Amino acid sequence: MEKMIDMEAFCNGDKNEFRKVMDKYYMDLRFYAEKFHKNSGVAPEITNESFIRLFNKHKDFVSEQAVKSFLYKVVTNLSINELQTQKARKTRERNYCLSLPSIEEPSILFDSIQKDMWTELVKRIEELSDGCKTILKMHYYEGLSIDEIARLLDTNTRNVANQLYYGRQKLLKMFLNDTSS
Amino acid sequence: MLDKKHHIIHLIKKRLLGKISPGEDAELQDWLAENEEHRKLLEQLTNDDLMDKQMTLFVRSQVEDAWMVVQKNLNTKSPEAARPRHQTKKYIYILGATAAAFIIIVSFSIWYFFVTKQNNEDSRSIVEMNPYSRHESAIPAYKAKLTLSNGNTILLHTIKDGTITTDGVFKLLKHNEYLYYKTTAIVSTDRNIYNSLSTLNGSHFRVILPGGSIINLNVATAVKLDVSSISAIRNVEITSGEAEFSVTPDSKDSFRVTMPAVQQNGITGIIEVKGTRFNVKAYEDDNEKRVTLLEGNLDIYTLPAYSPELTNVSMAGYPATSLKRGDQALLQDDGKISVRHNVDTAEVVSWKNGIVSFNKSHTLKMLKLISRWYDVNVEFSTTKVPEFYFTGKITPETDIQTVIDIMQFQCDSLHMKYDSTARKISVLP
Repeated sequence: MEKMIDMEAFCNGDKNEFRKVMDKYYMDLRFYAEKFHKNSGVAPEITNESFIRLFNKHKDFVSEQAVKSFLYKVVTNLSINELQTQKARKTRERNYCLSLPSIEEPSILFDSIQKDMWTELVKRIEELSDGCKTILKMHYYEGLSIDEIARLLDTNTRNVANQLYYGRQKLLKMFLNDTSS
Repeated sequence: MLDKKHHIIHLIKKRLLGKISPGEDAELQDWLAENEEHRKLLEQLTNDDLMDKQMTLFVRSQVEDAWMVVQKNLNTKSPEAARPRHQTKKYIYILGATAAAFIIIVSFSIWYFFVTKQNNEDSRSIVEMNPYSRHESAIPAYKAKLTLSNGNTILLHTIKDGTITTDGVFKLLKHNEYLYYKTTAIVSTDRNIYNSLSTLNGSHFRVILPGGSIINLNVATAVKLDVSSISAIRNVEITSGEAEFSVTPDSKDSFRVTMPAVQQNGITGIIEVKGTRFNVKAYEDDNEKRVTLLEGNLDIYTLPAYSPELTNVSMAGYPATSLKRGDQALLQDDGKISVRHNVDTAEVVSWKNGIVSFNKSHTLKMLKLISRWYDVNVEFSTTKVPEFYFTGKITPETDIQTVIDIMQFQCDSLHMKYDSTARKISVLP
């Protein structure tokens, strides 16, 4: 069981509920967008836009499932549009890249390494077993403490802490053994 | 340029796996020695607490950055909000046909009634600008009544989230619109003990069974769950209403759903599945009982009469109908089953998104439908209700008065009045 969004408040335009939706789905959506746009850096832009559109239509949703479907649909459509216009954009991007400081610049290189590593680790949460995945998402995405998760899942804190530990170890193992990056 | 980044990540991985060569190790040492931050990064991957903190920080920072951008756009007009209003129409349509001649004329035309919805141009005035009161719309609430095996009833929407009680061998837990059944260590020899769950008019509810099977209940739906089995609930009776079942595969036990008996000869349909998703529509007052298979395989057995014991015996020997994905079985009033192939399954379960669909529905059936979705009573001040058939959809935000107006527009001889305080529709002569 995950923490549910209060759909009534959401439909009434409650920004706190909207923020909860973002907490819960942002990372998954961005990773989804990244599947379309490997290195071009447009995935965050597209993900942001999907949430802006969601908020502008907040009155239309009756269930969290509908919210989720809507977000994925927007990201898919925007991604496809983006891919279609990417060719024309390539020249523009190349020029933009030329004006950026070199990635060799130590602090930029470090930021980039750091971001890549944590992205790779978090992305693999999706590959964990269902129970473990739920707990890790509740903890990292929704920011719930071990106690809160235990209460929501009607289990003890030790079990949650264990799952978190094993989940992280599994992520690390998958990350280390992936030689593609 | 990117190579250097990948190279360092590669070296870090090799170091942590203990597969680094002396030359590579020296190279990594140089990089680590460059900066305190670099050393910390390696430490974060080897210390569980630091890893936990860093992952939290990383996700927070990503969402926070996005939130800054998104929030800024919510207060200003986004491209979507700045669009002309006519592009964000909500619509309902009802297609009607009175007599055969009229059907021929209008059968290819659909009447669309566009209800323009005001778009929020400023998020601060959202509530005030919402033209639809949820009370008057068909947007489902989550209200349900649970009856335990000892006869006690609980209104689930009135109680706080958390553990409710134990019944049979299960622990019952409520969270928002979900009722969870969890297995316990309790041993019980009681047989045929049931929990009943029914949604109120205008309400949906969801049940999650041990093992992860889910039952989604539509408005005014009642189900009986057999809570006497040892480790799982595998027998459900749908007394009246509509529900979608997502059954987790189980190689040993099959999952059974018993449908209400048909009126004419008491024949009952028992649906037996292993792991699949299907929708059952079987309102007590509706002659047509439909089963639509959304995923997997399914068998429907027809039995001469229903008794609780039947749910535990083998179905072998009873007439069976097998469905394939996209098939819809219609259990007719005479107990016979007819099957339609390749039905629009998304349409079948559109009720989950609050969409009310109807196809050639008689006036009386329409009124029942409205009564269930809008939670209103229908009163008749006349014995003569027009014989009219409606086809169409109602989107969730459509208010009840609009539905009444369109029905009256379609059927000249239908006169209705809606009283919002008494929540009552009067059908007038």
